[in-house]
Amino acid sequence: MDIQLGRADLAKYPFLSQAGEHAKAFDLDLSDLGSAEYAPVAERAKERVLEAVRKGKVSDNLVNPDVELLSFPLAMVLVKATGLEHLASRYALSEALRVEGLLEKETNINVIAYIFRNALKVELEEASDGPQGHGFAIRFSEYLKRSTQFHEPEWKLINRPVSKGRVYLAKHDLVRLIRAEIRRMIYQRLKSLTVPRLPPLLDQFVKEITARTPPPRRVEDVIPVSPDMYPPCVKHALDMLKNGQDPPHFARFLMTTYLLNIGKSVDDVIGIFPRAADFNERVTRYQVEHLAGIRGGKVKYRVPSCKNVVSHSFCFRDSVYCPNIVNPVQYGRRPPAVKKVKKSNA
Amino acid sequence: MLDPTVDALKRIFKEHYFKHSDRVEVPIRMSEREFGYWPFGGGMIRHLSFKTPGELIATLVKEAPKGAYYSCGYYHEPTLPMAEKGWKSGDLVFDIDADDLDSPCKKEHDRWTCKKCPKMGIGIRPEKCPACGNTRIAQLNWVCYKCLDASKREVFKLLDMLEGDFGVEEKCLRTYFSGNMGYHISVEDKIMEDLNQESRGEIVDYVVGIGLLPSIIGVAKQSSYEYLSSKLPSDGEEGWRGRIAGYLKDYELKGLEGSGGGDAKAKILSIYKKSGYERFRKLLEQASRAAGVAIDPNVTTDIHRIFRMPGTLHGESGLEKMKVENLERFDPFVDPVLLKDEEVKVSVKFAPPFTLRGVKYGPYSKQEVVLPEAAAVYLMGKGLAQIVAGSP
Repeated sequence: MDIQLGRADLAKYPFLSQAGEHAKAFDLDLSDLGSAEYAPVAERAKERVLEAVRKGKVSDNLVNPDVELLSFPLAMVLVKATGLEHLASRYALSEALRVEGLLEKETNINVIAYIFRNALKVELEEASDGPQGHGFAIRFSEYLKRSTQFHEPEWKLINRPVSKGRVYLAKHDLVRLIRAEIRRMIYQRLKSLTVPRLPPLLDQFVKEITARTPPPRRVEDVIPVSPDMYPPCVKHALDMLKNGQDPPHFARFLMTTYLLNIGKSVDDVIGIFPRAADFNERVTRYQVEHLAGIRGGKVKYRVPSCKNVVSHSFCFRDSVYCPNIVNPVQYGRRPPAVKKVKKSNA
Repeated sequence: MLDPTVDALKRIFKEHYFKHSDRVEVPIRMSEREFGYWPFGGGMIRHLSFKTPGELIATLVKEAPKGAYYSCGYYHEPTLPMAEKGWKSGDLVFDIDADDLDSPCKKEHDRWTCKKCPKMGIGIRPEKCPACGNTRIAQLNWVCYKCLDASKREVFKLLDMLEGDFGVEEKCLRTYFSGNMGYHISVEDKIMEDLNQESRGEIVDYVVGIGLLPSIIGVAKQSSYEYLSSKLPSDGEEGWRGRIAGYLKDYELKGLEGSGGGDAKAKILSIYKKSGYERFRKLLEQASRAAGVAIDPNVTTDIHRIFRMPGTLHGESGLEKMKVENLERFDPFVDPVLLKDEEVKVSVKFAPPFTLRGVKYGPYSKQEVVLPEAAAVYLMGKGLAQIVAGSP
């Protein structure tokens, strides 16, 4: 179903094609937007970006819908002009979170369904035969394309009502899928955007934003990890070797890729193997070098994800660091899970 | 010079391919696939491409390999190294192997042999040889009707799931006997073909029953029994809710014996009341694995795998990887036995009893026997028998 959105809705959802058309009708270029006449638009654009930097979420400001609508494409220009890759990623997520907040409050289900179809380009079926509260359905292949990007167990296919190739969804599922798509869409648009020379005011905003954006966290850097801080799955594989047991193939793969990824040398890793039941140094060296990217396809293998470890029944998660990670290599690098304190009803 | 046993196997396979080349199922879109084969007495040869069925058959007859394979994946350049092939899409495949089922009969028919001393034993290999302490021990996995019947039941479960849950049409599903230890199921459906590795991993978890949350069947830590009663699944429900209900309905919990067979909801509620949340959660894990299908997860998720070619012989058994038209009636020790009855004299190291084409053979231990070609290959392929010089 196609619906006509009002100005306020377009301001809320400025990434929609209808919103783009509305913005084009103003017939403005960057020199216009950098002039005093349109200062509120430029100011709001800067604010959008700085909110992303400071809070990780862009606020709603619907006092003047046109300002809100026009400030979105301009904010994208400002982000791109900084040349900061990590800001682009942060901004995309911050805008997506803003949209998610609005959609959660959206009472008109037709608007949500419209945005879903418009943003995801996926056939959304209104399904009356689904379980209670699951009034929508999409093809499972379309579902999987998106759900595999989420790490919460609720998004596993097995935890969804599935029938005849369709996955049933509730309203809040649609909202979450929209959020992920908006983030991806904004990030992609930022990547392909080319920025011409900016008028002085906007140029000054770019400098200000750049100065106020902290440098990126570099989680992928090689950080030496002491053996007592290895994740439980890797520890378990190492313990098996130590005890003369024969770890399954997957456990060896996990352990080897993990050790190589935290900066151990090929020789360090081979040194761990001699006690394995069927040790053959030549073969082991070949395999470890292959995973290290020295041989074969010359690609260094990544550590399998926690999801993958669970699928191979080799997850021995703890309740401290494991809840906050999606890959064993992040173990101990992300803050421990905070135990929720139960509120007393007294 | 080849070992006489290897030479005999190669000769027998060559003759078979020469006479029965029409049995080889040439895949669709063959020019987009990678081919490979494993010669008797050599290492795997991969990254091949064939433009015509004739070219493929000629290679099979010439090489008479112990295994012939093609990729499930379709590539831009199938002969280039893996990273440069350019994966386009791939068939979705499943492998159900009797060896992964842990059937009780494994303890009766599987064997192990020490690689250092003559010690051998029945069942799963020990960590160390009890005679000499060596840790290099060979495992012989054997199959019998019991474990291949158990594999068949898994195939039925998988086909039900693919049709009911995933909506795959029956005409898109192909079931094959693998030629040795189980069954291969291949889905030829455009929707499945485009799935990436992560999506295939999710399908694996769904099929196997990994990661099911208690909340799916309405169980949450704090919920009241009234709330639970309204959310619990019924026996006939679709998907995983119905599967769990079906399993728990007949589950015999200690202290609740004899309560099976009634209403699933009432039964689940009484199990929950008796066991509490944590025990129930563990029971649910057990239930989902039992109601799921025992597939090999690596086969389905590995989009670059080469898979045994239908219509070719399995080097460890001499049996054909054969398309199964009627799974209920299919007999894995009769239908895919295609080698001749011509007699061959072999010296058998040892062999548990086995049946081929309705004839029982063995057990054998350190003896020379005259066997039909099919039975001799069954043992020689597994490395349990050697051809006796002068045998035809």
